[in-house]
Amino acid sequence: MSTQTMKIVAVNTSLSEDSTTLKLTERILATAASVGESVGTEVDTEIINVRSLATALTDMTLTGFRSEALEAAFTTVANADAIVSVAPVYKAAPVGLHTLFWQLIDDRTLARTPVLIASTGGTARHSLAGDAVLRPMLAYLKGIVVPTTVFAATDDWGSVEGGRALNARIRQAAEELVSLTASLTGLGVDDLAEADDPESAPARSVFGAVSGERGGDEFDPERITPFAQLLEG
Amino acid sequence: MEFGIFTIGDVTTDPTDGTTVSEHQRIKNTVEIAKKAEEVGLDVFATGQHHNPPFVAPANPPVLLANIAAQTQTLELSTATTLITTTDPVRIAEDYSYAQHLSDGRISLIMGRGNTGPVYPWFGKDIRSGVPLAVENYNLLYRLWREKNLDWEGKFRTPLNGFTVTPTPLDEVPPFVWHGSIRSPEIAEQAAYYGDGFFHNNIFWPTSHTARMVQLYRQRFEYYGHGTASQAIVGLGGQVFMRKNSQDAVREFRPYFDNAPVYGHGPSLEDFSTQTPLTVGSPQQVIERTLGFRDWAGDYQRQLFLIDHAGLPHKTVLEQLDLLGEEVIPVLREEFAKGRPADVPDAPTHESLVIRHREGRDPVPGGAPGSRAYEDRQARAAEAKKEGADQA
Repeated sequence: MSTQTMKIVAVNTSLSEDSTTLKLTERILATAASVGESVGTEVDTEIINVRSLATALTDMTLTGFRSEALEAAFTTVANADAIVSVAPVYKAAPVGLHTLFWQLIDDRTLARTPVLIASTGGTARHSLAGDAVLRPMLAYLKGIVVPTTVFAATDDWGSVEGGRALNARIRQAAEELVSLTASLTGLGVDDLAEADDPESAPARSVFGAVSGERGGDEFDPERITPFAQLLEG
Repeated sequence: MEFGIFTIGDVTTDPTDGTTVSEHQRIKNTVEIAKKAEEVGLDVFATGQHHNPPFVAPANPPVLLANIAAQTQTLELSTATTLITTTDPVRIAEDYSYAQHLSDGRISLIMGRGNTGPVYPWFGKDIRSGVPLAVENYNLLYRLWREKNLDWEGKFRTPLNGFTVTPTPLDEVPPFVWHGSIRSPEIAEQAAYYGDGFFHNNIFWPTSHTARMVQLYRQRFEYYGHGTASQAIVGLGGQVFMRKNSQDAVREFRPYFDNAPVYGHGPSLEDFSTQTPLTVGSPQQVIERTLGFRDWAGDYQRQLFLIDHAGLPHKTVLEQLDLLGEEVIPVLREEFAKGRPADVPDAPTHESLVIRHREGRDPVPGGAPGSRAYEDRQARAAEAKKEGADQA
């Protein structure tokens, strides 16, 4: 029995130092952690910045070669209980560097893994870009994308109302992500409203035990398909 | 342990002067390279199989290998790889068997699937069936080399009725087979199942990955009862460019690296050298790097170096062979022998395989009685029988 915490990994492509994308990522993760806390689940978060993997992603595209840092990032994603994808929108699509990360990761990496899509952009005109581009891509990787996506435009950071609306949306998406993850990983908290009362929070089971089965380690000698079975075709 | 070189026969423009050798010249050079390999004391020359430009590795490697066999005495002639997916296993059985006779048993094969989609349909195959093709075709090849009057039926080729390969393998012992794969666990499993060798061409991969594939093969080799994990037959690739002085090596090789068709315009020479086995430097650096392979792969049997690619001039390649033969291989032989357990086998040769065959020690595919695989099979059969009885 490994761990009792829910591991949420953000795949975040923030390109400038004072990045609104990173701010959005941090806000989503903090909200998810507080949602988890309210239902008695400890949430552990980690941020992968795709920017630092830019050269490695290009190299892999050209040569098929994965750097150790890239391999480590892919493993972190594969071992996560839930994923948050956050990227700025360029020309009506998440920035190519970000989609490249998802294009190069192994098939089935996200099997049984809830994913939250979030994007940033200049104006609300970009708001469906994440849905249009990433939803099919993440579904291809067998991820389970939660219904609510988060989009933050400049306005959302600038005005009180905008900020409030953004926070509400983040809260909604984070609840979907945490509750879906909880039910998939066997925690059994599939009804957040009910679980809001800490007294009634069901007993925890184990995160990670189930996610360990997902995709699995294809190089594990104990789990390989026996050759006799391959021979039978 | 055996040491050698492997080539894919790429016809690449030399980026330093814009010249490109003709296909004819490249083929002739390849024969010279192989002869030189024997002359400087290497054990193995291995050629790829290729069907499309810019490569002139032979479409049927025994053509080249037989030609080299006629001009050498001791050199082991191997493939790297034989395309088991798109080549008819009947022709593989016949052609390599013939070359084995011509060369007095100096032939071995590394099986590979190839990885370019367009090649498959040229031979009536489909890349999506890559693994099933490798599985079925090799199983047929294995039987062709061991059974007479074979009746066979499969998914991918015309059935055979009463077929016997001619010539039958020399001394009734087929050439040794390695299975090469970069990242398909099925192929490591296949190698283990038959008790064949496993070759990982690690030249574009970090050691962490190669180590896992090798480990998988070793564990399964033991599971099938062909020996302990440390006795499994492992081969590795490597990629080197040397000059006496390491700065000279880096300076001279950089333009070839930067423009190479495979990795050019991608990672830097320095990054690539850190993350893959590529070693550009002095012979001493190559020695140290290669000896390090044992730390994660265990004691192994075959080490092949890639030295003749990316448009390097023929003269330069021959100089690399001199350095390998004079300064690198003798030290590697000596150092790899140190601390190598006595029960770890050497690379198989025709002679050793003949002895094994005559002593009745040929590996049993899927595991002989006494192996864990055999016991598991027995247990499953008993279980099935019990269920059958319960239902009845």
